[in-house]
Amino acid sequence: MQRRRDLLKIAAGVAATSFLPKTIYAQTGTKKLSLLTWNIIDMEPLFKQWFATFQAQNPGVEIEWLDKKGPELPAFYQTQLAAGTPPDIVDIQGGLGLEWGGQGALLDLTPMLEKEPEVRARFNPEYLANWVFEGKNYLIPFYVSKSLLFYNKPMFKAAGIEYAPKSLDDILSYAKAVSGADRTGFLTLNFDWLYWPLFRMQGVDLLTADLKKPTFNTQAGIETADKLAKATGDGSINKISWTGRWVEPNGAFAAGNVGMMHAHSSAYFFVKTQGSWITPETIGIAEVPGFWSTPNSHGWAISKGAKNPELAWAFLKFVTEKTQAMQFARGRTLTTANGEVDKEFLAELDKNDPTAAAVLRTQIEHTDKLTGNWRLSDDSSVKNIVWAEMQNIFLGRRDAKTALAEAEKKVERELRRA
Amino acid sequence: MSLETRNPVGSAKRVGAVAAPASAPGWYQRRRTREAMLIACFLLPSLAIFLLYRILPLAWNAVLSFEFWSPLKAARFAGLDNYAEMFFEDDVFWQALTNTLIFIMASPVAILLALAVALAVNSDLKGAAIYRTIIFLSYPLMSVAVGIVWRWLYDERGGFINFVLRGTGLITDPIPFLQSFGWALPSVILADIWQVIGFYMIILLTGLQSIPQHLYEAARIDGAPASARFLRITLPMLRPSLFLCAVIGILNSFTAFDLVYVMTGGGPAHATELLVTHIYNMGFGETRFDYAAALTVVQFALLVILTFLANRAVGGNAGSVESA
Amino acid sequence: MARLTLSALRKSYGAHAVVHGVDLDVADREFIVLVGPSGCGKSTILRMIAGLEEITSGTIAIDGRVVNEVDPKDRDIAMVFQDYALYPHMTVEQNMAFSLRYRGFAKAEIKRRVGEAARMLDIEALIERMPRQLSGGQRQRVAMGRAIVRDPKVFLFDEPLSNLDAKLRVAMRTEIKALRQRVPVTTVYVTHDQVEAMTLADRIVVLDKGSVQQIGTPEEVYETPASTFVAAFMGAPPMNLVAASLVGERELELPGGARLPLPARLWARLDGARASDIWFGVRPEHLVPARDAGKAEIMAKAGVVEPLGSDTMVQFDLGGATLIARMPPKSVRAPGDPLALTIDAHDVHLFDRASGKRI
Repeated sequence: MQRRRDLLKIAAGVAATSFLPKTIYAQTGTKKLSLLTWNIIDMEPLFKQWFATFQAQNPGVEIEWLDKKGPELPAFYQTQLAAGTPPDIVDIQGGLGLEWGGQGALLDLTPMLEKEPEVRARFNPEYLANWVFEGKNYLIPFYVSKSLLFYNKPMFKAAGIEYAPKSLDDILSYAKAVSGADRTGFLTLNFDWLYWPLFRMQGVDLLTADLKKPTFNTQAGIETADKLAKATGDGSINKISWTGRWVEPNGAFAAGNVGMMHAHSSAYFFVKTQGSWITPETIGIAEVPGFWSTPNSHGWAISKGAKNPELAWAFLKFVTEKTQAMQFARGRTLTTANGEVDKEFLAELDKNDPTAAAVLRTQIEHTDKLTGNWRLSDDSSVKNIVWAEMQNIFLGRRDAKTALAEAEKKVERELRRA
Repeated sequence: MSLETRNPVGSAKRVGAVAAPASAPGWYQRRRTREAMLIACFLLPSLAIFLLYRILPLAWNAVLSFEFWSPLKAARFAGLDNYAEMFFEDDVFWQALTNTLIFIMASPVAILLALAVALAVNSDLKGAAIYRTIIFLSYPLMSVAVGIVWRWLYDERGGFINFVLRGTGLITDPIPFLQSFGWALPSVILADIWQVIGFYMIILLTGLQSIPQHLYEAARIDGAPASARFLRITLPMLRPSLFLCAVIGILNSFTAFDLVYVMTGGGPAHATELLVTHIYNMGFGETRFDYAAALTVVQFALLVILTFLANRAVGGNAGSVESA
Repeated sequence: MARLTLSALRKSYGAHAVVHGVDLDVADREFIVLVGPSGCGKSTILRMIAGLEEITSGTIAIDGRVVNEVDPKDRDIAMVFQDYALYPHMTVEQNMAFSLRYRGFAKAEIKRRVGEAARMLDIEALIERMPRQLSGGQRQRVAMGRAIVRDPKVFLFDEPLSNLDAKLRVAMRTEIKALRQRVPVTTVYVTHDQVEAMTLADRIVVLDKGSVQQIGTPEEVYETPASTFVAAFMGAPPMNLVAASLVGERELELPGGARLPLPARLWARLDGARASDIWFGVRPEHLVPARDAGKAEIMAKAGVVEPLGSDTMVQFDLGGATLIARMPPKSVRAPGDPLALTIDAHDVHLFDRASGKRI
């Protein structure tokens, strides 16, 4: 109900505000900075502290902060864009940053990063490079995560399995071995294209390097999809993998009857509080076979329409500085892609919570094997097309050959359209 | 007031003939104008809001559907390109349209159920008021909460529905309701019916209670059996209420966004995609406002047509209370 | 040919009794009016006859057949409701034909009967209309038409005129009377209006608080009311009732000291025990101006004077009690005018003070 109303309001707002003269919004004189973050209201005390420090360093600056929940932020930001009043700074998750950058909503940060190499040097280069579209760097890392493999050690032990899987075939055979009446073997979160490492580890990629043509409709692609469909059909893979989003798959794993879960690091902190079986001894933590993973990071961007880009850039430098980044890492128990900070923080965490440290360590290793986002301005359209056909395959409505051929045709059309 | 002044046209013609006071029509016209202005003054605020929040967005939306436009690019005339894509290339559109129509066709089932419930709680049944309240309670619940609860109920492994079905021996293997192409849409529709049935019931109950008891007594004396009393008195007298429910059902099918969004996100593979979720995905998921606008125009047209037909079926007075 | 018999008819809702043992024998083709103030149980009795209300105890018989457990449709009765209860989504014709359709009549017969009733009620022109397109009086006729087409054993009317305005009510009353002469059917008619009761009834049943006060022809009820309740209820303005006591030989002392000789007829019925404790009653029209002021029984001064054209109603005070006299027009003109009134001994009514019963 609420969302429906919100949508109506947004739609009405888009229409209404677009008719108003832009000058109403033009700020003159004051140095005002607006900031939009994504579902991080729990960090309010820290943010307030940062604002105070930043304002002390930059007298006369006014900061307007707005936080939006998961599904609301994209719609809100786009509405503000349409209205010509985008917030100066926006916190964007996943591939959306590239898409918006590609569509021209965001400021290219490359010149700043070039002018100030010491800022660039803060960040893990692969995480930073993840947000480059056509040579332009649109975001810098705020906090980062990528997928890894959690497994249920007691279930593995009961099935006589001693090691974490090293390949897709391992995953599927282990999954079959541990599954049973009420147990399933494997589960992946699927939003933000998290399932793609399963294909990537088989050497299947979505598009050619120049992003002009689909490359997934190959023998390997069809085989991989077939295998996943078969495993889903016989109960080795939990069906929630292909329909659930966040709470359900995590809840299922936490309930203790799923052998493996492919998810990102933040899932650990969620399942730990939900599953009574989870202890440092019982939960297995491993890299995905082939070290492939899908990032799900948050980055900072500056809107192209920002009134004070210099001030915004100053703020971004400030929040990604060692002191602030360290405070944030401690506050949320996460990695920031600030190399120095992550190193120190993990050393600290090793002493307090070695399991969490082991989880987070995977987040800053093998960052050269990130997959699941393509540098396209219509990334999500392409993904949606493929995803629908993948669901058809995995849930047994279509055979892999037909479905992938169909998906290929549609992706080609979409690439032409864009 | 004389007959002449009641009809300004007639009075103007007859002024000379019947020697009516010459000032009468002028006075009357002035009064009419004053009245009209007063009415306009009262209507203006709501008209302004209606115009600003309903008509303007709609008009802008219609314009947008014939353009290529994104928040950051200048609009470019697109002619019928968006519509051509929708009708000839977008399989999801057709799927969403089919699903939406199925959703609509499910509403008579819900209305019949609601009628049965309304008849039951309208009787002298002990505790009818309590049942009435309980049944209505589902309606004001947030759809998001309803969706989440039903997700758990439908769960393949831990869900209550599968637990009961297996426990009673009706099925041996659990049904992956929301993960299956065949079950997903009926499952979502069932949850929607569950939520909206309380609202239908209240409308029908109000309708039932406005039927004068004497009609039933007269019919009993006239010799009409119970079935005839239902068919020849209850149903015709409930017609406005029933069609109000039907119109609400149509609207509900077009706006059942939250429930679908929470329960299935439109999946698996668009099996539960409705026009409204498709519009959302195109607009806010893929930043294609222009295309989403074209979809919206089609949905709007469909909505107007269906509502018009439903209202016509009841003789243009859906929701009114007919009295003797 | 239909006789209706109510025997010891009772109705209670839980512990609350609303009808206390009513006995009534309605002859074939008799027109009975149940009259009384609201809450007297008259409608409940009617609804019990119709079968719409369960009978707590006692019996209702139609032509000797006890119908207590018989379904309304099988009692062969027709009822006209206060709000007419026309089916709003059916035309006048369909409304009138409704009951016939469930009684297995052929189409032609239905058409004939409806047409005949419509002609009789002068609503032929309205036959295609919907009830909402009719005026109150027209709806009333349709409701009656619906009852007539059935040709039932018993007609039941539940305050059929109370939703009409005063003028229309008088007209419809006359029509019901005329109709009744053309269609003589056993009828029970409920009203709270004593004028309707007087004008329509063969016999009137006066009810109060669920009990029969009196059953009789309009003349009987008016001329020899069985109790103070009936005396006050029937007649407008009501009968004057004042406390009185017996003095000396065959004399009645009224408030204010006026004395009235009693005829032997009444005197014979009085015995010593209640002689000093009675209500004296006289109808306003029986307080007549004395030809010879010296022989007047009552001397008073006019209070409120209401000229009605045909009569003049005069209120006056008699030893603290207010009485009303119906006087010839223009006989009294203004408050304060002296009144010299006389009462014919035959027009005197006496009631027991304790029970209110007629002596």
